[in-house]
Amino acid sequence: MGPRRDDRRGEAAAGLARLSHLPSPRRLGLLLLPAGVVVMLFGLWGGLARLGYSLPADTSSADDHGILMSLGFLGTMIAVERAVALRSAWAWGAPVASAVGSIALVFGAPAVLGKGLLLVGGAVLTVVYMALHRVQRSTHNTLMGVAAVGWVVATALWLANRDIARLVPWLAAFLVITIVAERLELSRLLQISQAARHALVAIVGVFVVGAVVSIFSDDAGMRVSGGALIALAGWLLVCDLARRTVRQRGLTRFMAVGLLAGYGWLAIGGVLWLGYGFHVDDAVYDAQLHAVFLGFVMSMVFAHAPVIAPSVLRRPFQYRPVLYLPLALLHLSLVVRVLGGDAFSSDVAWRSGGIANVIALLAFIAGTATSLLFVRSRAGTSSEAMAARSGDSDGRAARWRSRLTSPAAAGAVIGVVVLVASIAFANSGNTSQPSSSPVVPSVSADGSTTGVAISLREMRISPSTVTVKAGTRLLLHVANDGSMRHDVRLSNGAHTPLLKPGQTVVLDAGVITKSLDGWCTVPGHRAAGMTMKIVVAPAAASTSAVGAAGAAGMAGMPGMAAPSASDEPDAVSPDLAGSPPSGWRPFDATLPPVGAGAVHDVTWHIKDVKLPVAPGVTQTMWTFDGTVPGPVLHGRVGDTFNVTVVNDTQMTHNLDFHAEEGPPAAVMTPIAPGATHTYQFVARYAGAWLYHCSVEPMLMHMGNGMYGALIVDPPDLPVVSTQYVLVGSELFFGPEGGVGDYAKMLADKPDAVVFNGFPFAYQHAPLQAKVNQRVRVWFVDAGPTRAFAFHVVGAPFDSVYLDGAYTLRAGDAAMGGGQTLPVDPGDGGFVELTFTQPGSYPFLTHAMADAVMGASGAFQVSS
Amino acid sequence: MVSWWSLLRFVHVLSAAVWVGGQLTLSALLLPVLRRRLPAELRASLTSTIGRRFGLYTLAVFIPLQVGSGIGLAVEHGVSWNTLAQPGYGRTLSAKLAVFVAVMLLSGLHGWAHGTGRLALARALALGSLIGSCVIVLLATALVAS
Repeated sequence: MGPRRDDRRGEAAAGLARLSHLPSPRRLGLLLLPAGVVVMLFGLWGGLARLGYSLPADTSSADDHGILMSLGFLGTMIAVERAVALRSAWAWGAPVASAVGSIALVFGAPAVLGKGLLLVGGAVLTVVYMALHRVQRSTHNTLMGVAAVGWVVATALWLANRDIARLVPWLAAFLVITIVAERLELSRLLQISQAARHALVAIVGVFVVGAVVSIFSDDAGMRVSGGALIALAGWLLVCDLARRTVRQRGLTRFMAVGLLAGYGWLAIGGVLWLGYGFHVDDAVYDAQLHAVFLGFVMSMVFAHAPVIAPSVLRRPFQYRPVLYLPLALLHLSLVVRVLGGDAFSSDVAWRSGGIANVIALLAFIAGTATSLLFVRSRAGTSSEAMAARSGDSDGRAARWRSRLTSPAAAGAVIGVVVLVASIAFANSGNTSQPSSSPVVPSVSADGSTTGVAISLREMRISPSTVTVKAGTRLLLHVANDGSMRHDVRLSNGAHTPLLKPGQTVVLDAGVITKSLDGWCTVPGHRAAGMTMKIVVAPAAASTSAVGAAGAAGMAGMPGMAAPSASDEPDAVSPDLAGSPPSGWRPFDATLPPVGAGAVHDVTWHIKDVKLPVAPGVTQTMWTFDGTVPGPVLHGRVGDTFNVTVVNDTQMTHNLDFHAEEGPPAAVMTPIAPGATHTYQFVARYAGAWLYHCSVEPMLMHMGNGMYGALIVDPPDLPVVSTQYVLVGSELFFGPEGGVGDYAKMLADKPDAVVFNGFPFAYQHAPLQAKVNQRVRVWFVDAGPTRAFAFHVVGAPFDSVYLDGAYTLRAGDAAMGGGQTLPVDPGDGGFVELTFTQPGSYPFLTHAMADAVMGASGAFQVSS
Repeated sequence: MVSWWSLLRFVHVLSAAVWVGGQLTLSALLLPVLRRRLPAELRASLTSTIGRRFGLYTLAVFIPLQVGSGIGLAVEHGVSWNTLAQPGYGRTLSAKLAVFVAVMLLSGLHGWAHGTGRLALARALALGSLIGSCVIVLLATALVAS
């Protein structure tokens, strides 16, 4: 194929031999090749960033990936090749402008500068084709000129701030038409019929029409161009000589293999364009672009580089079969990416295919450089390479020059790489505000780290609130569970890359010292509701306040299904006062009699039980022995209690008896899952005591049902006919069947306020009493947060006992009476009263909102 | 104001100037002349003698002086391992240190390539090292500004 290329140059080739004795622009111009490679490296860097790999040196390469690869790298290479062909110094303006423009884009120069220079590059290249047209008229040169106009239009639209995704038909016009024209040129020997030539022009015409249409209708334009791509692939398969040369050997066969594989991808790309139309930033888009730009264009580059590189550089090229490795890797990795990643939504396939694409390109560059630098001998060089050299009239001078120039060029490449890499690193990061360092502190004050799972869907972020204690380093495990691309950016600057559906990353939110906002930066998504908050827990809860969703933060609570992290909405009771479910029985409020003897042995099991907690709502409650509240313990002052507790759950729990004495760490022993422990204590003081679980987060354990009453009779307690125990508490509904909502507990926003675990329990099953018989009601407030004002409607109290003492006694000389028993959370007492007439007497907490939410019952008094 | 610290910086800059200047003078002025005027055998022995002396000077005087004065200046400037990673001054300085290491490696490899007769490789490494030295000077200028 070499001789053909030299024919093409014709007059230009002869002139170059003369020129080479002078300090020609060509020598300087060839320095653009390493510059183009550097732009490619930045383009690939940006490509990796788009694949979700977290890379240092925040550049704009990710946004401009497509432009850098198509115009910055390939455009510069094509323009260099044409400048070599045309012997005019001004022709170098095209590659210089595109290389400088691309580097300006990479290094964050004003966008208009980079875009403008790229536009200039395309314009100069167009003029170069016009000049070549005057030297030698040909269909292929005209087609290449049309392709260069595609470059111009793409950059002009970009300058007008059109999105890069909407430039795709024009970028493809530039590269695809250039390559097809090149093949046409090389197929001259095949004697293509006039009809085939006209067919090709017609197909290219259709493609350009599609590109023009895309300016007005992206979808229609994409489909028209896609149809043209399919036709092009067919034309190439039929008319190109690759079908024949693939049967030859060596470099010729290598090229043919690369060409045929590329035509296959062109057809696939065309089908995707035609079938799916315009897509942006999704799997279809990824496949549409990379089938054409990687599968076709890069395969063409691989196939042609062994011919073009030696003729441009005028160095021999040593073909080695090892070049098949990057070629094979390119196509296999693209299959993995498009088939596994895009078609079957495998994130692993998408990312590993993508990184293998990059490795294939780098390996090919290395292989080409090796083939150019290390040539065994004259005899060993390929015929193409020798032909490339034959343009030099003076063979000895050429060898002498190549010896001199190649080390210099290599040294310059080393130097340029060092220069670019070091400046890129030195200028990386945000240097505009060095004082308020944007660097996220990586170690928390107390070294604790919390991981929270975050799910992104259309159009919400779940959980929407994450609560952590101040000083915690927060790692967000962000998963895009939606069907579009999303990301998360926090108000401290931490952010994820744009995530494909199914993709996950860990976002280091840094050490949380103040509350942060988070949102999805995809336009419109924030306004549509994709926001979240990271809240610092109040100091009071700081001993072990954890994330509302804090699966990892809930130490020792593996069974807790991260309440707020659930996507399911919290359960809502249609009517708190409605009928309880069938089979429901109220908690027995009757105070059990004191057992015989001074030692009371009981055994409880801590269990997670699904209980109806309101009409229409079932929750997984954490219970002492299966009920909420737990069993009532009853004894006298001085009695010993041996409470053996078996933990049947997957979570650590414990028991904190308020009547107990000793250091909590010693007496309130935690019970690991499956373990058993016996709590022993002597009741030294009388009272209505609360017991509860005090494993952190205590609010969660208490809010989910782990409490009960311990009644220790004062000495000389008068005997009454009826004694009841009521435990007041709040309920916080999580998802139906799930555990309570910790966020509601934190916010003191209960769904129900109850006596003995169920709203309006004793309206459905009233407590019984007799006229003129004294009733004693023990009351314990388990909270977790609200105080109660226990009141019986129509029956004043004649005795009130609170905090270990009577505040009012029956028969008191002052003739006082009681109306409410005010009980704070964690406290208890009792009241005594006598009903004088039969009938129904409501009782309630006189905190009226709480009474409406269920803290209300009734005595049924009979004669 | 000339202080003891400015004296230390003076030593650092002067020593760097001597080394980069020597490198430039040798490759840009001396070697082309030698290549044109001297017969090959004489030229080879002369260039390797000059190269060996330059290498000896580099190892015995230049590197100790640069590293020593450089550490002193870093301490005076409050540089720590952490600040080396920070954007701005820190990253510029760490880039400069990395290029310094690279240039020393390239120079050493150049000496080895020249000594073992790999002349083309030696030339490439020499040019790479020379450009690298200029990059160090560029980064040093950037450090003063920031």
